[in-house]
Amino acid sequence: MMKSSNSKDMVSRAAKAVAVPLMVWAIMQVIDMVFAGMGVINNSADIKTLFRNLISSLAFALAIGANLNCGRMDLSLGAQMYAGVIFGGNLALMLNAGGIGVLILSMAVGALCGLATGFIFINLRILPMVLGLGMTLVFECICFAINNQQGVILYGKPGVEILSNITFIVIVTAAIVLFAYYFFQLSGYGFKYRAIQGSQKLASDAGINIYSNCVICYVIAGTLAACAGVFITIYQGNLTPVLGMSSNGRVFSNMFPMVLGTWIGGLCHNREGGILMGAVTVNIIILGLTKLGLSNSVQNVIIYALFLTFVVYNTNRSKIDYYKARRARVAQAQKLMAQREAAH
Amino acid sequence: MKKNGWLRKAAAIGMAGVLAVGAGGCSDSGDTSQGGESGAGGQEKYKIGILEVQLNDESTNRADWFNNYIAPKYNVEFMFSEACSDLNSCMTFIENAADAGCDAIINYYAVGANTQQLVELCAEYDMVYTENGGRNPANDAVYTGNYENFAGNFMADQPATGKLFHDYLSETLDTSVEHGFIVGTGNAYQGNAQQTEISANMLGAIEELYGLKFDSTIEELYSSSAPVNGTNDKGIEVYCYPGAPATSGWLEGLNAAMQTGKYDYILMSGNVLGNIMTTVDELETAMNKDFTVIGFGSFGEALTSAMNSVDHFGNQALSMSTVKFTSIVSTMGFSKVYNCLTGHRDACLEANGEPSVLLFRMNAVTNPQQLEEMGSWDKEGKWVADYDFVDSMLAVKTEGLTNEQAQETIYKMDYDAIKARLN
Repeated sequence: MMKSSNSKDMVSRAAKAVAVPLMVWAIMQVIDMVFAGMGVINNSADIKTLFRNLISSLAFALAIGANLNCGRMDLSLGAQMYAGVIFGGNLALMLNAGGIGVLILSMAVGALCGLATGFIFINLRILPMVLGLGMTLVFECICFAINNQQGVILYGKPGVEILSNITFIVIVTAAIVLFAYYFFQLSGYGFKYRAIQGSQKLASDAGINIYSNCVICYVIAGTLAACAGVFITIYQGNLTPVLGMSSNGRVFSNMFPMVLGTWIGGLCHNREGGILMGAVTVNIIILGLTKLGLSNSVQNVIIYALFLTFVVYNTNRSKIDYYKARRARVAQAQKLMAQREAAH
Repeated sequence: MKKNGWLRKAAAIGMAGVLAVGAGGCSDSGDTSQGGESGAGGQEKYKIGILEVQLNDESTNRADWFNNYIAPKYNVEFMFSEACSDLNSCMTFIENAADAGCDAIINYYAVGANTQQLVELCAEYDMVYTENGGRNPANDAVYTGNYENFAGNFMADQPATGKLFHDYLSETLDTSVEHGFIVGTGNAYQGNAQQTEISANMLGAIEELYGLKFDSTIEELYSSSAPVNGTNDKGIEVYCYPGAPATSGWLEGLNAAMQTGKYDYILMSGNVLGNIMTTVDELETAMNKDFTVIGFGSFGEALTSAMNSVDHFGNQALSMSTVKFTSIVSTMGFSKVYNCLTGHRDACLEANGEPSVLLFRMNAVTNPQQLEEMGSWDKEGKWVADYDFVDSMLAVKTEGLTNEQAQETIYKMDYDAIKARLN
């Protein structure tokens, strides 16, 4: 009986998680069919585009969330992504390590960047956002200084085709979600992480090493950001270094899947699964909008307006719930009074 | 606790340093020797500041030519900026260059609205100024303002660049077969001269070859900041797609347009080959449709990869692109300031006495062999602009040199002339 109830719960949660991207896909499909005469996904190239953008959004959203859930906004994630991919990618190309080598070495360099940022943070306790800005400048300048400012070019390089292979992308996506779920929800580290999320002081008093936990968070975030960068680069063909904190744009553009994913995660009681669905949803919206032939600025206005609307709704959800409950109470009281009057 | 305090102080100083360097954008890398000194062999020694807009293989090549080829021969020292992308960073570099004893500035970050301010700033420090840009309404006052330190400008012959695309389409397009065209107008809507000329020439070629008439003017089509259909009386599908790959959603939008199945010619006015070729290749496979790609390019890995790749149908993935020789462009800037420094400003002036704009022509490249051949030029030991060419642009070496002669000399350096000389 108990087992059957658990299975029902799981199915109901999974249905809630999948319902959001499905609904969005249905809406975008209708809009695209009416205005552009084609669907959101029409052929294998669309599927490749969706999956490649999905994995980069997912990895980046998880990277942002790793620190943000503990109250740290790391603005250097974009620069860590550039450093990871430019250093790791060029190293892998020099070693003829192919696409998998590019991915692994980029993630390794991303992890090192995260480690450096985390180590500086726990030793100096500079405000995370301020530290993020400083580290952004450092990483951006370093990226600029190497390889004659060319960044990394993956287009036309032998062996990197695997990074565009859908099966490979699905495997990496599944690996990232399972790893993040195990690490943040099931492992010993995850229990401590969630204790710190609740109250850093209480967790520290209880004997949890909040410093090592924090550094590990930064390392994971750097690794995931670099992973996202590899798939962005394979799609764009190259990744050229930027200056003047331009890399921060990557962080902000991936806030939508992160915030939406956290909300879906609340519905299905699985944060990592929720972020996956959030990334799918946002990428379906983006893919759907591109079919309409709108200018990039109009597309961005629509996406960010949706993001803003969602944030406003999410922030004021409690107020909406309160008004609903109040209306129900008033209705109940009115009904009761009517019954009493009728009885008299 | 004590250690933490020390670490905090060190970090604060370090971060302040990083912020100062990062925000400053530019730095000086030379010593503080004064320009105009007498060097070896009695030749006057000059110091020239090079203001770079971006650091890429072209700027590396340029620095190599200036430092290792020109500096020893003409007794000149060069000082290079980091990438300057706004007026403030340009002014900071110029002030640093003046402190370091520079006698002239060659500016590769040309914005018409900034020219007058930078010329006046250089005049304050008694420095000669030239920039890699043209004459336009925003900077016209500098040309007519009798600024003695302004040597005029130099730039690509944009109409000639656009004509390369016009001519290639005219020679190769089979109008008996129905084609559809995506014209990537890039930043033409923001007034980018190069992308404007290329877009206009591509659209003009389509109009001429099919004998069609667009419902809008060609200017309206390439000036649009939103994608626009070039509807016309012959029903030929033409889609003008503005923007650049750095913009979120640009590549996805191009992908969506190609998927409509209406277009098979992808004509790009911006340097986007490294960004679009993967998408083109994937769509050729997914749609089993052959796309012909023609686009602006420059020497580098992206162009080499695109030109040497074979598409899904066994054709050359990139049909035509363009290249330029950095040393020729650099010679134009160098000759401008050197002629002024050596007292031959007349060689930088038009017949009416106003500073001139020297023009260079880009070259078309249509096959891997041609690219390989051109790619092997303009490097150490094979500079396209050799001492003979540079001398022919300097009034101290070529007596009685006029601006017209200098321009003719540059125009003579076409593909055939370079090939004959270097091979």
